[in-house]
Amino acid sequence: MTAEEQKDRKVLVIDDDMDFIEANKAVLEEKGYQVAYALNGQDGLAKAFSDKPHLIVLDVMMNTVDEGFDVARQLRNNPDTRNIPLIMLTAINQKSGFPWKYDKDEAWLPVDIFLEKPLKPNELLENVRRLL
Amino acid sequence: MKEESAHPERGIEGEEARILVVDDEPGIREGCRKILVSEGYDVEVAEDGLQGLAVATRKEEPFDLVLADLKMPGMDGVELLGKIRGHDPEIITIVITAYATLETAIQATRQGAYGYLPKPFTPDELLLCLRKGLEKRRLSLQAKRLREERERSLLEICSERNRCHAIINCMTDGLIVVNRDEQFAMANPAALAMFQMPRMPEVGTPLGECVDNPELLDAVRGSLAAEDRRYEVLSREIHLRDDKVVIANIAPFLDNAGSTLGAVVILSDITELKQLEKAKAAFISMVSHELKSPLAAIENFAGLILAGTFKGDKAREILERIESRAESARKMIDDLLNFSALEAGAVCRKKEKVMLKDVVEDVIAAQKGLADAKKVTLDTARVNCDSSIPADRDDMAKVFNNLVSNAIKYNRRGGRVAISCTDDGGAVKIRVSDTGVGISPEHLEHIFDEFYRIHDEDTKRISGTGLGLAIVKKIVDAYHGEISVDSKIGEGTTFTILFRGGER
Ligand SMILES: Nc1ncnc2c1ncn2[C@@H]1O[C@H](COP(=O)(O)OP(=O)(O)OP(=O)(O)O)[C@@H](O)[C@H]1O
Ligand SMILES: [Mg+2]
Repeated sequence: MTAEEQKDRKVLVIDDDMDFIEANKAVLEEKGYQVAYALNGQDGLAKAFSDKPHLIVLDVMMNTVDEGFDVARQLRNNPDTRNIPLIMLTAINQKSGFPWKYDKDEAWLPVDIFLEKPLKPNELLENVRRLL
Repeated sequence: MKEESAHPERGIEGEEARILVVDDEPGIREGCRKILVSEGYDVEVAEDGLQGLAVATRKEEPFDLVLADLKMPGMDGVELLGKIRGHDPEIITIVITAYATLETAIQATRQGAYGYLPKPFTPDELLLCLRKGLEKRRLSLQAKRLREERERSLLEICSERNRCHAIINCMTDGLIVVNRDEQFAMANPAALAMFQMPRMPEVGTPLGECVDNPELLDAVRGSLAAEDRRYEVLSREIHLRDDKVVIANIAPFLDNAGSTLGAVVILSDITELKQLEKAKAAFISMVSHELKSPLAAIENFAGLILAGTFKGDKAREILERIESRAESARKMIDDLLNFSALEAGAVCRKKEKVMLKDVVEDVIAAQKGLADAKKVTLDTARVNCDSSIPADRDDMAKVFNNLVSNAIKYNRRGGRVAISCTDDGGAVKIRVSDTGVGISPEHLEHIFDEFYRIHDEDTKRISGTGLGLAIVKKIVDAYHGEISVDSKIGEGTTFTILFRGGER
């Protein structure tokens, strides 16, 4: 895929770490994606509704331990954003067995892909390509 | 005098037996006395019933045995001996009688006299009768003593039981005892309260009917069914209806042969422990997140520089970011160590007279670079030269450093930070105010929480760990001081600390 082909692809990165945003923005922009960002869940939701990105990269833990989950749920519950592919990121090692606070009964993991920080550029790009 | 050991039968409980002879006939009275005294007894005599009664019922030196003539003027022997026995039930009474009144004498023994001595009697007959009587006295006194002892120990056991009861009833831990058929045997009020039982169930009620808690029933059943119960104590967490968590330690209740009689359940409330556990888990997740974020950013940035994504001036800028993230990770570890030491109360404070002016000077020197970079002026005009406080200098430095670094970090370019210390009549007031972004009311109540940071457009590029103010608060608390914040969004923030005289 060439950079030209990605020109109209908009990615929204929601993360409370500006450096993380900057790094991943650079990676995506290098490949021609348009990148918007938000530093908290509320902003992220607003941008998701207004910008209609083609893909959202979302951090789980922002102001609260599971702010990202709330954002994901709200995106899934809104018809305008329901079908936007979602990559969820966490700084916590899933294998460590840390007990996540989530409701097992609800459609668990309202996201398409779960990735762990730090994120290698290739890992990000591969998964973005897969979902777009 | 005869050796006492030669006549052991004569004494009662190690003393000479005391004998009273009551007879209106002086011959018999004195004859008896002579014989008895020569045998080593302690003897008194009385001439008639009334006198005899008066002597016999004297408080001091009670008698062991009374010999009384049946027929006397005034009060006769039967009446006299009856009255004496009423006074001392263990006293031995012997009737002296003539053949003519033998019938009456037998009657008297039926009514409680120990025996009778028909007149005339030989000294040996007298002594034999007497010794038998005294032996009886000794035995009945012994029996009485044993009886009293038994009663006393029963009483003690009773009060011991009461004490156990009181202890069990006062225990904050719950106690439930069941038999091996899972039937209720006993419980204490704490257990009743835990399971919200309105009253003490009746003994023998199936436990399932007393307690509406499947977890407990299950655990009790498990304990009763266990194979080798001798050393086994089963522990199970049990959730109560009011969101409390208790740990049930269930021990089998065995008889001497080792077979199970039932189970004893001790219930301890561990709700707070559980909450602590949760808080710890939340803390660990917070810390790992906060520590991983700068490391992830560093790794990311470094990789992108190596890959050539960031080049030239941009790469240089990114390297600066790397440096600052590494620094913030290191600072966070310092803060964490500080914080956990404060939390554990494991700080040793070297209190001395700290001149606040000196502390402020040091802090200004340390923060100068940061302030200059943002063109923020630091105003210390209102630092009272003489203000001092008995404290650990490091503590005061941490307080000022954190407040001043925040006041610079969250300030606007070209803003101002004013530091003041005033000392009015024993209370020292420290104030750090800035012209920065301000803190909105909804955040205000949280800023002293560990790891709490505000993420918005104004603060997004400012790095920090959210421990600074938590540390400040802990230190201020340790000195019984007060800290307050006053802030207006877009205008600035003022932190005020008050250390009162007496408590410092
Ligand atoms: N003077 C201030 N003006 C505006 N906001 C402030 C000020 N001081 C603190 N805050 C807010 O309170 C939050 C908590 O402050 P705190 O000092 O505990 O953590 P921090 O500064 O983020 O990190 P650090 O542990 O490095 O000090 C900050 O993130 C900031 O949003
Ligand atoms: Mg701070």
